[in-house]
Amino acid sequence: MLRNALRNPMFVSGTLFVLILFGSSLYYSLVFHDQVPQTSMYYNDDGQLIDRSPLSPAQVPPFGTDKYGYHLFEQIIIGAKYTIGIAFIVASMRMALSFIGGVLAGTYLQRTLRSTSGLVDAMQYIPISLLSYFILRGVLMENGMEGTFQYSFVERVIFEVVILTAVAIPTTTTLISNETNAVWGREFIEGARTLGGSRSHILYKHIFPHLGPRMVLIFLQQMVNVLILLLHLGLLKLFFGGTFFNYDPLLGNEYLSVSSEWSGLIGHTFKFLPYETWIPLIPILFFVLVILAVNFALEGFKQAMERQSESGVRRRKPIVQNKEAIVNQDSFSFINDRSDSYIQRKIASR
Amino acid sequence: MGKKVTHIGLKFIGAFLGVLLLGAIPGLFDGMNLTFSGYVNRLFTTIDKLIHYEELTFRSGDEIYQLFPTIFEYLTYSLVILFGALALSFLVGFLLTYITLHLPAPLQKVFRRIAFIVESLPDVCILAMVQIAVIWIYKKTNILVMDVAAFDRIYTMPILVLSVLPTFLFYRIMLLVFEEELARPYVTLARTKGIESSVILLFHVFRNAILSIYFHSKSIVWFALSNLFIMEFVFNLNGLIRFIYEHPTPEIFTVSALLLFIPIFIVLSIYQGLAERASKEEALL
Repeated sequence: MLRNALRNPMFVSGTLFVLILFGSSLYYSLVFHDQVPQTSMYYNDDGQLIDRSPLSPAQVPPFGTDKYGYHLFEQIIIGAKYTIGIAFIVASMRMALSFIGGVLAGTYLQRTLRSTSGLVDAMQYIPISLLSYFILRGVLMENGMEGTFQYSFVERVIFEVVILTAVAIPTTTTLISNETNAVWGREFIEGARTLGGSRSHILYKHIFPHLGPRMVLIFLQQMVNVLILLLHLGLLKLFFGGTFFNYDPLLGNEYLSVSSEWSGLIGHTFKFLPYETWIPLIPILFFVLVILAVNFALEGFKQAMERQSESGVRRRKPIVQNKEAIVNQDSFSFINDRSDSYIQRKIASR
Repeated sequence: MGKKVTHIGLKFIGAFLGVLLLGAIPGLFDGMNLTFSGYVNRLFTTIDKLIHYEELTFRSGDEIYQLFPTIFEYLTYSLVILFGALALSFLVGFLLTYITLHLPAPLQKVFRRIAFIVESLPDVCILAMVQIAVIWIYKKTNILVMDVAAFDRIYTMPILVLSVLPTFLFYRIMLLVFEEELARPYVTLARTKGIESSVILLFHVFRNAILSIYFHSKSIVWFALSNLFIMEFVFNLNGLIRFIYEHPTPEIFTVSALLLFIPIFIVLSIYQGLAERASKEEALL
């Protein structure tokens, strides 16, 4: 399966893009200690001051600077490990918990699950970003008047990861339990039962291998989900790890991200979209690229899966061909001449 | 028929309770501590307030207003945009599918690629692009396509913008289901009888495909709902979801969630009924 997927160009390019971004982010923080160069004044060749920050991508390649002259490119690189890391961790946690719950429910309690599906249905009528916003707001938003957080950074991060995981658990669990149940209904399970396989044996030997590829698909979907959720929360000014909140009735309230995670970059600069388009647009662009890359991996994996099921089960051992066998017509003879009666029977059986 | 009504009724009650239970979830957290009693408390106060719904109020600035019937203005606005966009995207998605299926294979591939990439764009990106486009058009031609800062309710642009992503989702689903359906033997039979391919597509295949499309459209509706929320927020639209965001009290959250849920549920149920009747098959749920 994996070998098939690794041969798929879409899967490989998608995965590589995410991995390279993540790796370079780690490299940057290990070697350069997350330093962000600052250019707040822009001089022309004659040494005259032309412009001050924010500087456009044309003036400070490749991505320009933000309001205070910090280069966006380095900020993006620094933020990458948080954004991708969070998406990965939350998606894995969702998968791990839902997998246990889903397999158990799909194996033992399909009937109860069907009757409680109404409750899970309810999740579909509330935007998940709104629900998470309401839960997270109290913890993540800095108290504007006092300028303090109630909890430490680590506590907030753990809380956010737990909540982002929990909000998707009901839907993913139902999804996985349905998948599990569908595999239990396949014919070969019946065969395995007849041959005396116990429930746990069938579970390990037959159900899991069939669920595996589906789980990879759901995992990648969840990753996209988390990225979009982060983006939404960022727009709502809830940044990962907490939001510094400056109450300023004159110049407008200012929100700042505690970590330099991408959604924070978008959230606190989105209002600049009409004037300094590139500042929010570049982090959004990177979000799009990462989501696209994950979707590429997803699509590639799907294609690899289809190819696998088309080619059937791959034979472990190559068939040994006996080259010496020479076949000629004389080796065979008809037992009886069935030309007419055979055709008639064939027509009749239709 | 009676059985189906009870079934839908039970589902409604289940989802209703679910929304009620979910609406009280923010009460479960006192900062970072789980307080189960807080949750139960909040649940009961919300239910209590719901029973006396005509006494509910909301604050705007320093004034206190009656929640009912003001909230219905917000609700209808959100619903018109949501359903308008969904209907539009369903139609356009179907049209695109219809066109695609009549195209030669290499062009189909191109269409599919484009749909795949557009579908991957997050809603925020589309909103940002629209905003940039509006400003760009304004700068070039002095025509304001959409007044983001206006207070009165605008319909055309939000519906168009909201329908972009669902269109491609519908398109993808329909293409998938239609192709599966086109491989069935009855299509071959119809072809051999000399029925025109567009007739087969529009009547026979569409009828059978619509139920599968229904199963997927649930998630599309949910997706559109969450898009709507972000759009109301970014474009300053006076819709219900932004209303919830601006008046973050538990009862307003639950009331609004319920008000959103009821029409969507009804529309989905009607759609399910129609699809079942069209395909003469029962939705197994």
